[in-house]
Amino acid sequence: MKRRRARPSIAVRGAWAMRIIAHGFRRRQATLALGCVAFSIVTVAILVGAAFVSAGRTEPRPFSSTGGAELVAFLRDDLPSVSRDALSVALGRLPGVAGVRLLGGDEALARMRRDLGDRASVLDGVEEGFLPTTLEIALEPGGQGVERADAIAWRLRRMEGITDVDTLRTSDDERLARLQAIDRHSRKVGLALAAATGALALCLAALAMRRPRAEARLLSSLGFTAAAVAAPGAILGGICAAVGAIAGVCVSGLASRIGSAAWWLGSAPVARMTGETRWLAVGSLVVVASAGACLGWFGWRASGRVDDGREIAG
Amino acid sequence: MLRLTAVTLRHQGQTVLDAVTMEARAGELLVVEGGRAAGKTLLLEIAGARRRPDSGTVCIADHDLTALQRDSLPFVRRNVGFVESQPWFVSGMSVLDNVMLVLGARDEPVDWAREAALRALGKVGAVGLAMARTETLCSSARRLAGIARALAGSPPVLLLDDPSASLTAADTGAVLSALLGAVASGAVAVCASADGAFTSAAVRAGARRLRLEGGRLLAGPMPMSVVTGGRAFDRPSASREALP
Repeated sequence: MKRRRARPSIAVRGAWAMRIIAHGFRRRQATLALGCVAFSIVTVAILVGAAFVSAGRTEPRPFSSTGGAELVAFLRDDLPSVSRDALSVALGRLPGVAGVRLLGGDEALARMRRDLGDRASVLDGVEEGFLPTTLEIALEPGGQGVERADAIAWRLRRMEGITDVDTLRTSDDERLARLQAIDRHSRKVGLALAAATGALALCLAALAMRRPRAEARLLSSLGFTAAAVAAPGAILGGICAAVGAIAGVCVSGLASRIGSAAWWLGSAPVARMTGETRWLAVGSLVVVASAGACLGWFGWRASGRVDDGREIAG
Repeated sequence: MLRLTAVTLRHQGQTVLDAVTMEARAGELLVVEGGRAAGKTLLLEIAGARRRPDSGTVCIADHDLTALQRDSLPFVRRNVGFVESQPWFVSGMSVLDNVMLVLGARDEPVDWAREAALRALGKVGAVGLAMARTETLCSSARRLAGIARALAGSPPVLLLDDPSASLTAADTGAVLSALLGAVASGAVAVCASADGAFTSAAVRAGARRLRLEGGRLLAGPMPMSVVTGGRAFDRPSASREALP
C-alpha cells in the first residue's frame, strides 16, 4: 500500500472531525432525548421554585380593612358636623352596636394610601374630599350584633344623612389569612419539590453521560488527542446550552404572563412574578445549560483515566 | 523497538508486576503466556502507553514513554495496534467505520483509511463483517474486528491480549497468519495468551515465548529463528513511520 506521508491537511482533519460529530448526532439521539428530559425537569424545578419564592414575596392584595368595623355608613357631603355628631351618638345607642367612629374624608384617603402600599401611586392627583366622611360601626358579637349586620345595615340606609352602607365581612380577612398560611406552607413544599426534581434531573444527566464517557475513553485509547475527543461533546453541549437558554426565556416569559394574569384576576395571593424573578429564572436556566455543556466537556476530558482511576500519565 | 526495563506495578497492596524486563525487536513475535491474573493484560497496557507503571521505563523506538507528558501519549497510542481482552467499539457505528476510526486518529485521508480498513478486515477473514453494527456481533466476530482494527494502517507495534479467545481454529489460523505477515514487514507483535494451542502454533511459526508467573517474567525456550539468526522476523522496515 504505497502512499505519500505528509503533514495532514486541515481538510483531512476537518473531514474526520465532521464524521465523528455527525456520528455523535446520529448515535446520541437516545442520549439527547434523556438530556432533554433532564433539562425539562430542571426547567420545571426552577420555575416551580421561582414561582413559590415569588409568591412568598408577593404583597397581599390591597384590602380596605377598617380596623374591625363590620358596617361603614357613608354620610351625605353637605351634612353639618353637628348632625354628624348627633348621628354618631344615635347609632351608638342602637341595639347590637358596640361602637361608632367618625372618619373624615382626608383620614380615609390616608388610610387607603397606607393600605395600597407600593400601589399608592394610583391615588396621585386625587383631589381633597375625594372620599366621603364615613361612620365605622363595630357590632357586638353574637345574635344581636354581627349575625344581624344585614338587618342593621337595612335600618341605617333609611336614616336621614346616610347615603349608603357597606357590610364588611370579617370572613374576608380570615380567608386572606388562611390563603397566606397556605401560601407559606406551599412555598416550602414547592422548594422541596424543586430540590427533589433537580436531584432527579442530575441523576438523569449523569446517566446520560455514561455512554459518552465510555466512548471518549475508547477514542482516547485509539490515539485521538484530548481536543479531538472533547470537540464533539463541547459542540453538542454548546448547542444544547443555546437551545436551553432560548427555551428558558420563552418558558419563563410565558410563566410570568400567566402569573401576572392570575394575580390581577385575584384568584390567589400567588403567582405575581416580578421582573427580578423572571431574570432569576432565565439566569438559572442559562447556568444550568452551561453547566451541562461543561459537564459534557469534562466527561470527554475524563477519557485519559483508566479503570482504577489513575491517570495514564502526566 | 519495544523495551521494558524493571517495570513494577502495585495494585491494592500487591505487586502485580515485579521488575519485569523484556525487549522485542522489530520483526519479532513474542508470546507471553501465563495463567489467570498473572499480569499479562497489565503488562500489555503498560507497553501500549495505556497505564503508567509505578517504576521502570517503557521505550518504543528509543522514546521513553514514562517520561512523556500526557498530551504526548495519543501520538504514541495511535501507532500501537492494541487488542483488548474484550474489544470494545463505538456503538452505532459499523465495523468498517470502527476500524477506520483508528486511522482517523492518525489524520489519514478518509478514502485511504477505508481502503486500509478493508484490507485489515480481509487479513483476518472478516470482510463480511464490514457493514455490520458492532453491537450485533458475537464475541468471536468482535475479536476479529478488534484485531483488524489493530492491524489497520500497519502500526509498528502490535499488542494483543488473548487474540485466540473464542475463535475457531480456522479464525485462529487466519489471525496468526496476519500477525506473521505484520512482523514480516517489520512490526513487533506481543501476544498475551493462556491458550496453549495458540502459543504452540505461534512458537512453531517462529515466535519467542515468555512466561509470566507471579508478576515475574521467565524466559521460555528460544525460538528457532533466534537460534539460527532469524529468518524473516529480523528485517526492520524502512517504510515504517517513526514514533513522534
